[in-house]
Amino acid sequence: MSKTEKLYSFDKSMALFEEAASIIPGGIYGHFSPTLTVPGSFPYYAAKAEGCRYTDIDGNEYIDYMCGYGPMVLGYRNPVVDKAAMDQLALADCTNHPGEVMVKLARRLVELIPTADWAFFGKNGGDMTTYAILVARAHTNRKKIIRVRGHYHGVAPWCTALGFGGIIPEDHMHILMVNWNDVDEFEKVVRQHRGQIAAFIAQPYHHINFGDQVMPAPGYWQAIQRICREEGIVLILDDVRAGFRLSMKGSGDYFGFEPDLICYCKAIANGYPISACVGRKELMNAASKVFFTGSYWASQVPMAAALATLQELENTGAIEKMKDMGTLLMEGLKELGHRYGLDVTTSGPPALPFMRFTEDRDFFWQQLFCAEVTRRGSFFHPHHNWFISAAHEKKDIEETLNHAEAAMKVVKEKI
Amino acid sequence: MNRDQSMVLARLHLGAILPLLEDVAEYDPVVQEAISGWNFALQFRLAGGDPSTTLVFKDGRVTVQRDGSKGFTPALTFKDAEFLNEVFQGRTQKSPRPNLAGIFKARQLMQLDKVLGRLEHYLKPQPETLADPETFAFCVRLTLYAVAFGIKEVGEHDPEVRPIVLELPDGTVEMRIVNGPAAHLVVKGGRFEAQRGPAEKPNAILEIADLQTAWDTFQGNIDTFGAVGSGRIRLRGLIPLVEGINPLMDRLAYYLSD
Repeated sequence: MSKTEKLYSFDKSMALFEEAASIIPGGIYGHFSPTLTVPGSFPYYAAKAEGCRYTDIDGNEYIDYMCGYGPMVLGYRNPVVDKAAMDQLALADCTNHPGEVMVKLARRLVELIPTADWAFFGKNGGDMTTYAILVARAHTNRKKIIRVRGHYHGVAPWCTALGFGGIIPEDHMHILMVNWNDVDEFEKVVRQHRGQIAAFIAQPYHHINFGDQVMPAPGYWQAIQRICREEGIVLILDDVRAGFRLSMKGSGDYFGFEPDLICYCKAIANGYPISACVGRKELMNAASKVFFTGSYWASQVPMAAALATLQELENTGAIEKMKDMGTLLMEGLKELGHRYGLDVTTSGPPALPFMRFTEDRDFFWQQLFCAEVTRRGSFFHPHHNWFISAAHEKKDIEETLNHAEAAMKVVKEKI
Repeated sequence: MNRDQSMVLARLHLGAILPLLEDVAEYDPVVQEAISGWNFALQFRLAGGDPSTTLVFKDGRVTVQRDGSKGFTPALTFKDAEFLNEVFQGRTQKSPRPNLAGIFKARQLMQLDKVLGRLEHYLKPQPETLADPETFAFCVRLTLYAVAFGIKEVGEHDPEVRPIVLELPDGTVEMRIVNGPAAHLVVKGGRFEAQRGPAEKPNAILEIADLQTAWDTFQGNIDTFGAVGSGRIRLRGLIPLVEGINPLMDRLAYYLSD
């Protein structure tokens, strides 16, 4: 049996999980929960990471196509980013005051993103989407928010589905839902609630779980922007997942529209904990009236890391490279599917791709395939879009395609 | 419990619990003896007729009809949902009012408490009942069916969970216990069909490793996320369908917690 055909086991992961489940609710909670993959066929705990690879506590090494669910964009332990962070740590991190680095980072974002006149910082993407909602309400003196079915904006009650613990119908009292890419429906909802809608919030394209990624229809964003401007609705772009993977200028620029507020997180600092909201000057007064903060929100190390990450993304042509590597992976998977008689659908931009088997509506084949790939050394999530980093090289993609070929043979045998 | 919730609980009693008499009559000698020689239908209904459930006794067996029955059928009418719930929960000595046809079956109806009491015997068993492996397996199976039937009633009638149900994808979810029983739910347009046994072609599967894990899950004595992570509960296929049903199970537990 060749090295690439060796199947991993997860004994230590499972044993640690048993212990964890006795003292931590759910064992592992949130989006890291193994319940969202295929429990028993995936690693649960990471031990070390470098470049585009990480090793779990069983000693299994993976080429990583989730990148920590997005934050890793330049590679784990990127020396340039880590040096900037460590240099800052040697000076100051979490003190009584923000540092000069906060102003530098705000300046950097304002210069980088065409619609940004100011910047505000937090820790998680969900901090920023909730902050943006508050800013929109403060600016418009309106209550209602329109959002798109299936779009994820974090875990605040306003954007967490009913059915999860503690969420009550009143949390959604002012939330109106529309379908992606449906301008007519959006217009109808706006008409029905004229003068009451504070904001429309959406991701730049439809990157949902358990489904194909759907790009905006031609003219979609431009039509949405026109209606928002006419009706005094604040247009919020949740660029938490795709930001700085499609364009250094943000996904608004990439798709040719001008959001009023944009939320960033994930790729902004290569894994250091920071998020940002940028906005147009018309909203700055309202933004200053929103009281929103946290113990670590002015920490200086992540801000230094963000500055270094943005610079390194530019210096190394990372956006283009992620696109190339993602394209190589997707084309390779499609070719493998063709070779084994398994029709493969790829979707999303190459830097945040997703693949599934066209006939496999219920994801049974997908769950088997991703588990088999993962057990061979490439981490594929069965239900969530994947992430490419600038640390992925052609040889990594080729190695992954070897894992994928072996996994496709298994799928072919078992279906 | 407000009026809407009382009505949901009444629907659970008639739609999810009473139908289990089919299974109890097949298994339990006490019920078999009590109903031997019974050859008639008996309708349980709320005043006004909705909801109603008819038990058809014939040759020592029970079958259930959910759409009521026609003709001169013995019937027990409950004046309101609260009263129905009190009767099913054993919180009142009063009895529902039989119709004229029911009066002709007065002798059998006197035995009815004993028959219905066997439902509670298996659904809320004492430790000594569970000590017998065969009876334990039966209790698990009965509870699995109660969960499946109960999800339908809660999902279709509880206003609190209707927004969740309306977001559910269409499809069939199979709940099964390894080397044990199965039940399945067909979800379509926010409506449910609950059936005993495995599905022909499930879109999602919730598989529980063994009877004990199933029992602990149904009794709310287990961290289900932890159980999924450890592999004692396996989810496969269209997971959003199972995820969407999970809060309905929680809601069902809320109603039946009394």
